[in-house]
Amino acid sequence: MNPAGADLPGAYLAGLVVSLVGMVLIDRRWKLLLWRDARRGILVLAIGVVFLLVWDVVGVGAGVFFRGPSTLLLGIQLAPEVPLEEPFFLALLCYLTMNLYGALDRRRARPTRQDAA
Amino acid sequence: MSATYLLIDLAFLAPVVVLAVVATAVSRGPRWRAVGLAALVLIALTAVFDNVIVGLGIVAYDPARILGLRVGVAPVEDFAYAVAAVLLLPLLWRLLPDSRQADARTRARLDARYDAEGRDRYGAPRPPRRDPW
Repeated sequence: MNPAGADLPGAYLAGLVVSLVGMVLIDRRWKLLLWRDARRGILVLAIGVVFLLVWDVVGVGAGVFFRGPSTLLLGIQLAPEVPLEEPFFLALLCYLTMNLYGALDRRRARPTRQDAA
Repeated sequence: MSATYLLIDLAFLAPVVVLAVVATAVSRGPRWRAVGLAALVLIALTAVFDNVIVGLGIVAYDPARILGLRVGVAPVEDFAYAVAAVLLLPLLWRLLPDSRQADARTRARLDARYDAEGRDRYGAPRPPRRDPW
């Protein structure tokens, strides 16, 4: 059980995937990251996820945090106390970061009228 | 209650801060205005998201290894992830080569070479020019 009530394994992963799809749509609509430079964008996201995943593993190793009792998790572990969902969460954090940065960095070249159409 | 989590945060965050500052000083760093604005949004969203996942019991903390300062139910140490991401990722974006510009340069080089060698843009030999008469 979880405080929200129902047992819904996979609900957390589903929420993360839906949010990630949202990030992709926002990126595509306003050409913020992968639609500006796919190769560079993928590299930035990949390095970010790996960096934060190492941080997680150190935190788990030190006993700082661990999987909670929630039944919204699938229950698949990538490593002790690192749920399958974690890299999806980190990817969402990284993608959101770069979409925000791309949208707020106004010194970059404005999209052409043709792009906006 | 201890600083274990805080110290881990510092071990990961400090090199990122140093890297971003040094890169700005010696070549180019992230666009700081955009980083600052994005950081405000990310911190606000982290406060919401973290309260949801801690509240739902998706993640839990050893109270003996965190400071105990919380925003709602979210430990303050969690915010270091968002701060590190908003410094490191834009920095990487600025430092990594623009692959579209690199592609355009490669294309221009190939075009020049093929043109000099009498080939079309795909590198295939051009048919011999016929005398119009």
